[in-house]
Amino acid sequence: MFPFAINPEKAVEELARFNQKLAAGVKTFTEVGPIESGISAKEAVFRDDKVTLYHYIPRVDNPHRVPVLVVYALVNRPYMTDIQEDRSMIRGLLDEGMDVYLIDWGYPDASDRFLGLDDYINGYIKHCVDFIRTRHDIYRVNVLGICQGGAFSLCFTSLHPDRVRNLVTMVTPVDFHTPDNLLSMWVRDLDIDLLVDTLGNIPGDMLNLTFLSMNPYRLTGQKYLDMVDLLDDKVKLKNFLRMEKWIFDSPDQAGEAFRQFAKDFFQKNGLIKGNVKIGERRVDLANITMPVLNVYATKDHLVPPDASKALKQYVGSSDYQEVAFNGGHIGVYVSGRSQKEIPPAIANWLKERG
Amino acid sequence: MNNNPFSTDWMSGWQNLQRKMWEDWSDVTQSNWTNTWQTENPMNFFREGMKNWPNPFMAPTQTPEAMAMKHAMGSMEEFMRMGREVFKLFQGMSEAGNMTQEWTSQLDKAIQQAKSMFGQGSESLFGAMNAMGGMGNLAGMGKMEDMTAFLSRPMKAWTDFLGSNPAFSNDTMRALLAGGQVTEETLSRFLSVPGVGFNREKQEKIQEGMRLTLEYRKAFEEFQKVMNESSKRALDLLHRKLLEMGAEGKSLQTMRDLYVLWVDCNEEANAATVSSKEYNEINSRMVNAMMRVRRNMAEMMDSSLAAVNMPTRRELDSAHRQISTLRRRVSELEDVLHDLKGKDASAEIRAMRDDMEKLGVRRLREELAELKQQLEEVLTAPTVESGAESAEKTVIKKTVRIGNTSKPAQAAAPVAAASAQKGE
Repeated sequence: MFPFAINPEKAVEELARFNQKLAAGVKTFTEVGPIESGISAKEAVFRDDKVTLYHYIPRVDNPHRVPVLVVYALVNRPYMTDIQEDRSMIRGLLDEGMDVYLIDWGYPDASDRFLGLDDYINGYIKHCVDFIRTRHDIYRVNVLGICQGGAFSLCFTSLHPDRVRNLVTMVTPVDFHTPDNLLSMWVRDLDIDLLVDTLGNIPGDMLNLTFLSMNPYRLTGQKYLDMVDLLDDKVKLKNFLRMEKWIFDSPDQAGEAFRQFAKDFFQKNGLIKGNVKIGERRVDLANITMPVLNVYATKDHLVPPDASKALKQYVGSSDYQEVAFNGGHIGVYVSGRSQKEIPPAIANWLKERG
Repeated sequence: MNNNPFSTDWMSGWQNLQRKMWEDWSDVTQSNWTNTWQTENPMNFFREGMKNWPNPFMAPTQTPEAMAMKHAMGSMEEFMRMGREVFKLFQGMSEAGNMTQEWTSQLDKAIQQAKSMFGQGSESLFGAMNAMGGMGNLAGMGKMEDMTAFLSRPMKAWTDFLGSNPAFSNDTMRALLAGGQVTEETLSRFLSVPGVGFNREKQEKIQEGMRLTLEYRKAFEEFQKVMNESSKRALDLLHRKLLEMGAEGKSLQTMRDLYVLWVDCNEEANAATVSSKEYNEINSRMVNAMMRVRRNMAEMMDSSLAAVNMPTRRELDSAHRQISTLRRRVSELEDVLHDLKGKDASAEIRAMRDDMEKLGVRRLREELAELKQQLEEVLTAPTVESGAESAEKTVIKKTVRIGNTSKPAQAAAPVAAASAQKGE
C-alpha cells in the first residue's frame, strides 16, 4: 500500500490552516506582555562584584530554622528554578516551610575573564554562606547545588565542611566519564587552552549551540512548528516564551573558570580522582561527612544518572540518600510531577535532619 | 480520501494555497500587497513581503517573542517549502503515469536522488525538509546557509583582511581562499617564501594565517562530510520506515506526519553520528582549527592596533588580570578584617548552639516550660482537701512529670561531653 494518504485538497487545507494559525497568532504575540524572570517575591540582600544573593520572602510564619542556599550553574540563568507560578521549585520549597536563598552569578564580561573556580567557590559561595550564617546567627547552612552548581557545592562542602549542615545535590555530574556522557565526550579532545586563550570568555551562544546539537531537529525545527498550535492560547504561549527566554538567556562563561572546569572536571575527571585543586587545596569528597541527598533524573541526557549516582561511593557521609526522578534534566524542576515530588522530598529530608 | 495519489492536479492545489495564504496575511496586515500569491510559491511572501512589514517581530531585538516568532516564520517557510516539493514529487509521478508501476521503485528513486544532492544545496523535497530542522536552525540562525556562514566566519574574515592588503590581494590569493584551483605545489611554494626586510615578521604571520585557514577549511569540509553522511543515513531510515508502513498497510495522513517522521529519522541518525568516535575527532579538529585561525587573526590585529597606538587585546587582558588580582587581595583583606572582628568567639558560640539545637535542647526547653506551667497550675489550684493531702498529691504529680522528661535529659549528655572535649 502506498504510505501517503495525502491528497492535494487535504494537504492544501492543512497548510492553509497552519498558515491561518500563524497569522492569527501574531495578535496573541502582541498581547502576551513582558516575560518575567522568576515569579516568587525576593530581595537582594548581599552583593559581591556581579554576584547577587537573593532571599526569597518566606511563605509560612515560622520557616525552618536553617536556611537553604541554592547554588545554580554558571550556564544559563537560575530563574529556571522559579520559572512560573505552577512550575517553581523555589515556590515549592517555600510552601514546605523552607527559608530559601539563591546565588545569581550575573553576566560575566571581559573584566571577569580571569575569575577562576577559586574565586567562585572560596570567594563568592563562601561569602554568601558567611553572610547567611551571620544574618541568621547560625553556624552552618543547608546547601542545595544544581547541575554545575552541584559540582561547585561538592567542592565547597569538601573544603568548608564546618559551614554546611546538610548537602543536597540535584542533577549533579560527579563522574564525568560515564560512557553515555555525550557532552564530556565532545569536550575530551578539544584544546581548551587554545579555546580560552583565543576567545577569552566563552560565549553563551557557543554553549547553546553545543546543547542544541544534541537534538537539533527537534529543538530547532519541530518545536517551533508545534508552537504554532499554542498561538491561540495566551497562557500557554507565555509559558512557552518563558522557557524560550531561559534557553537563550545564556551568560558568557568566565574564561579561567571555564578552562579549569573543562579540563579538570570534564577531561581529567578530577572530582572523583581527587585531582581537583581549588585555590591551594585539593578537593576530597571523603571530607563530606554531613548528610547528603542526591537527586538525579532517570532520563537526563546532559547529566546521565550514572554520572550523578557515582557520588555515593566517594562521599564520606554515612547518611547518604538518593531520589530518582522519572524525567529529564529540565523536567526535574519544571514538570508538573516534579512540583509534587521534589520540593516536598527535599524539605522533609532537611526537616528530619534539623 | 483519494486512493490515487498521482491522479490529481497537485500544482493547481498549490496555487490555491498561495491564494489562501495571501488572503490570510492581507487580513492580518491590513495592507494591499498585490500579486504576492501569484509568484512562484508562498515562500516569496515571507522572503519579500515580510521585509516591508513594520511590526515588533521584525525589530532588531532579541526578545523571546521576536525570537520565537522568527523561528515560527522560519519553520512555516520551510514547511511550505516541503509542501511545494511534496506536491512537485507527486505531480511528477502523476504526469509520468506511474500508478502502473510499483510506488516503491518511485520512492527509491526519490530517495536516491535526494541523497545525491547532499552538499550541493539541494532544493529537493528532502533537502527542503533537511533545512527545516537540524543544523540549519541552530541558535536561531535560520537556515543551513546561515550555519555554514557561522562556521565559515574565520575564513570570510581572513579573505576580508587579506583583501585589504595590496600585497596579498592578487588572484592567486583570492583563488586560494575561495577554494579555487590552486595546485599543491603552487601553494607550498607560496607559503614557504622566506620573509625579508622590515615586514618580515608580518609576512610570516600572514603566511601562517593562510596555512591555518587552509587547515581549517579542510577540517570544516571533513565535518560537513560527516554531517552529510548522517543526513543520508536519515534518508535511508526514512526509506525503510516508509516501506515498512506500506507493507503493514499503514499510511501518513498529513504533511505534519511526514515531517514528524522525518524529524525522528534525523534525530536517530544524528544521535548515532554525534556519539561516534569519528565525529568527536572531526568536530574537535574543526573547532581547534577554527580557534587557531582566530588567534592568528587576533595577533595580527594586535600588531596593527599597536602600530597606531591603540589598546590591544594583550594590554586589555593584562589590565583585566590586574583587576582580578586586586579583587582577590581586597577580598582576602576583608576576610581577615571579618575574622578579627569576630574574635569574640561568637562563631564558637554559634557552633555550640548549633550542636545543642541538633541534640534537641529546644525540645527540652519546651518541656521544661510546660512543666513549669503545670506546676504553677497545680500550686495555684483551689484546694478542698486538707493541707497535708494536697501537698502529697502535688509531690506525686511533680515526680511523674519529671520522669517523662528523662529522654531529652539523657540526650543532653553528649552536649556536655562535646563541650568537655573542646576543653570548655
